[in-house]
Amino acid sequence: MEETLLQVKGLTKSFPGVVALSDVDFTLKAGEVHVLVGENGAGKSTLAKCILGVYKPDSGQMYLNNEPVSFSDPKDALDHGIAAVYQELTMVPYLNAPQNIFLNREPEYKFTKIINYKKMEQEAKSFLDILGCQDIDLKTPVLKFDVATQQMIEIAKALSFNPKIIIFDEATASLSERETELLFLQINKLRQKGLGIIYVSHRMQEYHKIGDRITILRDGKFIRTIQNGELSDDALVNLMVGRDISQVYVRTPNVYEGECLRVEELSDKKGRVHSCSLTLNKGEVVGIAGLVGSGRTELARMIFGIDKPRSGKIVLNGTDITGIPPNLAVKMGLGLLPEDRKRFGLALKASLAWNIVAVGLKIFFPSGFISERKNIEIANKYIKLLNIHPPDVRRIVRQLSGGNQQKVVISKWLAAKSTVMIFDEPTRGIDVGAKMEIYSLIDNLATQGNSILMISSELSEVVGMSDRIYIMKDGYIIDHYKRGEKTEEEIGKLMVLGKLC
Amino acid sequence: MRISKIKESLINTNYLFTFMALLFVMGISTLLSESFLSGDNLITILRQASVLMILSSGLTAVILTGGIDLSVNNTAALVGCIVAQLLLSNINIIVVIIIGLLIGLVVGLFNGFLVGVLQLPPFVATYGSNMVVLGLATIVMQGAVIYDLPRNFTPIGVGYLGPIPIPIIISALLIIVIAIILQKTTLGRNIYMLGSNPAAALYSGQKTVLITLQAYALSGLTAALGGIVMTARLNAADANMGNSYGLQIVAAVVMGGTSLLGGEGGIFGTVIGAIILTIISNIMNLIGINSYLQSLAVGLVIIITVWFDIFSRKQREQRKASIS
Amino acid sequence: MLRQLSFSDSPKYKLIKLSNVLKSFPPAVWIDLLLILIFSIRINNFLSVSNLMSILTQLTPLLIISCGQTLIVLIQGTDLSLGASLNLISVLWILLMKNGTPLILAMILAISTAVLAGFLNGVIVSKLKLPIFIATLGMANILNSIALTISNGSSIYFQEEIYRKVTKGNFLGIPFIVWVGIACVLITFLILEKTRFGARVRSLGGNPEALTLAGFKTDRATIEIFTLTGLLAGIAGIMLACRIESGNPIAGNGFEFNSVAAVLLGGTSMREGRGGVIGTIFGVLLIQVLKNGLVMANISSIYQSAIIGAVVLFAIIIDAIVRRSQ
Repeated sequence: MEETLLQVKGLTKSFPGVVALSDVDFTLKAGEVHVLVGENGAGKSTLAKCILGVYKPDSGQMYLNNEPVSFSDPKDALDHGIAAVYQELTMVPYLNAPQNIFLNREPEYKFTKIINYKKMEQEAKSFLDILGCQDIDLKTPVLKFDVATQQMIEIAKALSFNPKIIIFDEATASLSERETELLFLQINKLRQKGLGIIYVSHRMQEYHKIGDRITILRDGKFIRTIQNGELSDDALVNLMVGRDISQVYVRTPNVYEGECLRVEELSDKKGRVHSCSLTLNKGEVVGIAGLVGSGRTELARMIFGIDKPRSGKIVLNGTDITGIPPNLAVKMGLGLLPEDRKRFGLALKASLAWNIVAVGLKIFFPSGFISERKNIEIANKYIKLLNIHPPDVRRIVRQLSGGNQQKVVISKWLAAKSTVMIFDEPTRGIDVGAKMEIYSLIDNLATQGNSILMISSELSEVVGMSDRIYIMKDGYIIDHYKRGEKTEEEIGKLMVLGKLC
Repeated sequence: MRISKIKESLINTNYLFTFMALLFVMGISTLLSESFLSGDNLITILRQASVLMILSSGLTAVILTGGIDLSVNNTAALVGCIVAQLLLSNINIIVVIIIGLLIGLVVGLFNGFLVGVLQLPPFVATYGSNMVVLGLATIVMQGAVIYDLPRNFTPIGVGYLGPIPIPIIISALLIIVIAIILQKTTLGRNIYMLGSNPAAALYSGQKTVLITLQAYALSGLTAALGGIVMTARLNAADANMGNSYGLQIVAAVVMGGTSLLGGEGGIFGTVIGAIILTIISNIMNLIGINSYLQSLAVGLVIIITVWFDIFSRKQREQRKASIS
Repeated sequence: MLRQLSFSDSPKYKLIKLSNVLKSFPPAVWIDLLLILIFSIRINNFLSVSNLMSILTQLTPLLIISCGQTLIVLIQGTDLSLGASLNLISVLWILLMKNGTPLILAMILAISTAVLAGFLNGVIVSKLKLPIFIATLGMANILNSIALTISNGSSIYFQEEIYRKVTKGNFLGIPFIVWVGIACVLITFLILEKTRFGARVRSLGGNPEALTLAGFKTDRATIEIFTLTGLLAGIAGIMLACRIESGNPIAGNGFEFNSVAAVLLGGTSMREGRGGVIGTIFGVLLIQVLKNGLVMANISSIYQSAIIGAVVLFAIIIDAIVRRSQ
């Protein structure tokens, strides 16, 4: 029997308004890769962050080598041999790779406080070499590298602590296929050395390749721990989602009357999008399936007018809108639900009432003067319509849960009478209940004659909701299919490999 | 039940803590000097505060967008100097005032152009234009000082309408106008939304550049008005006359609870902030404290008030979060 | 990963490379060269050794202050109390000597005051969470008030040989005051580029979370940075007093802003933790060369402030445009 490295018992953690983890058990053995799976918002990252000392659990106990432990901060966890590779990068942009890897523990010359750069670079190089990244220039500030390269430096940093446990928290989100393979090779080596590895991911195809055991979380609760291969994919998904998927994505049959958005041969200036063409009909939900970094978001930004295209044409309801600024696009009925709602979607310090009328100010108050009462009436209407909780128009948006925040962003566009909407990752980071509501909302909108262009990296969502799907890879739209023409697995393969075999 | 509701709404009022700071300062002042609370003295305080209020009222709009305008005091000086020169050449006073306001507008639009169109950091951009504006004021005055302005001009700064000094009336009217702009118009709403999250404003299809331009233009205009009142009050013009206001203008806004990050606060806080700063120098004059020490008290009060505001904001938010 | 540029040998690529090298210098460098060129053509003695030494002597206090300001700008702030710190330190030092305190002890006491002010700034910013702008603005008021009170608002004179020793005495033909400036720049450079402290500064400006994850308290880093800035302000105060041979409670006014301008012109960015003290040297040089040149060219002082302002604004705008095109 292998030795148990880490044991977690009855861990509970709540944030204002949300119970993120409730009474979760988890064990990690030496020499195993333990995969944590669950939908967005299931509590995977929260569990990882509790183990790492980023969050302090409300209750529950952790045991490291059968000794009870609790970590006051990430450094404390590191000192106990638990390192992490986070989803968000923890790089300092103007420092180079060695400086980032050894931040705050740079080797110094004896009896001085001067950093020994030579030694630091050698050691950094040795860790980067392990990862097969010989070609990273050690003198270049990391901000000049692409995200994948920064991620590899991040991993080298974790390795440099010589940890007993490494947690990968969605670490492959921005890696290419080849880089992921390389990473798995390294993870295998680490496993053979007897390290314990916790691997948080939502990519189905990764579990099988890398996992020894799999723990399923749903809505912050522990569901089950299984051996890899014990359950079929379908059974696993059912456990994650908690219900039959066929009931999740309900679409009402609809008639499409006429084209409302046409994109012709659109390319951007940065070389992320190459001659993409697509069409969207009235009352239609069209999905764009593609990995992070495939140019989906850049395409959406161009259509909405945030970035100017290099070439190509965008036609909205028969009018050429190529290169017009967002304020005009909005006037013509275009809406964008941005990928990162906190950064781009919401005025977090402002109230619900203010956010809901933000886009439609001119429509509601054409005189330029605002009537507070009318504003509240409008806000209440959408709060009721979208079931936003708590139903308090004065509530500051920052204090809402992710799902309710997303509903506020949607109501902003509904209030402004947008008819063609781009939804970029509409359900990222929100809980399952709110997801369902957003799906049925999308269906409703389409039935009422609105059109939705949906971008998502959650495959089942795009496949389940779309009437047609475009597949995007490396900046190109490589193909498109009607609903039901291809299975989820086939679409997934096309998205990753660009072909079906 | 009802009492707790009142308490709740009081705590949620943004100006409560700023107002408490004002009461505190007034309380201490009353203890220090008997003549502090006399009607005359209170009017004096308001009159002294009026220029600061005018100067910081437009700046409030700029800070609400998340920007800053460091050129306010010297824009005021430049306008004052030009107005004085024009008055000396016997140009009609109405024309002179309009020219003065237009100059403020141009400076404001220039700042707005630097920040909104060229996307320069506001601190840097307006610092640069501050140097230029001060330089221009020096050139206008040719190093000299002008005394004794026409009799029909000085009442703007020292005259009375009935028992009330004219500068108080001007600043009160201005504050009402700006309060309406900020609270009751779509422009004001857009200013708040832009400051709260510039990226979200862009993604909501707002004309962010236009909003920025308008906010800085407003600041330029109020700076010009402040400059005119200041010149009339001093009955003199000097290129360096903006110096004494300097960063106090920013301090008044921030003490009033407007966050330098933008999106939070408002004009009434600024009014209170300006009054607090004026009371400090007033009471120290009353009890005969060396004017050098006044700046010490001002420094301490700035730090304490802003800290109090930040601290209470945090408390308020935690309370709200725990209610839900 | 790292894409190899296939056209790396083509002439076009070399041109791009050259323009990148040009762009990699802060705007101050080019404007410095331009100004020096113009002034040396138009003014006879501009490039004379004595004039160059006088420029260097005059710029030293601003240079030292700007070293500290560089650190604060790197953590996305501006220290507005530095000018007031100069005022207080120069007055305090001379006053202490006048009252019979030995020179060195007076110097140590004066500099410690500046260090304390910096430390307090750091505490207010990190513990009370005040914006740097407001905290240092408040501190500026306090320090100015003390300086004005103890000097009673006027310059303090005290005969002492050290002033002339510092400003006129020289080593290798370069005045001691300039050596002090060079030492301050070098030390700040070393600390910023070669020690953990420097990594902490860049981390605090670029990604404070990285610092927390590495187990260093951001509060402590903030306090360290402000304290060092205070120390530099103290040294600058002594140098300023030596140059004006007195303690003047308003001589430092404007240094806080001029130092910010110098730092920004030197290519240090207020947004992302980019830049360093080497660029700042050129920023300081720009301001001082301009001042000196305008005086030597007999341009009336009435026009100087507008010209300096316009050049600074111009440089800032050019920098922003160049950077955006990258």
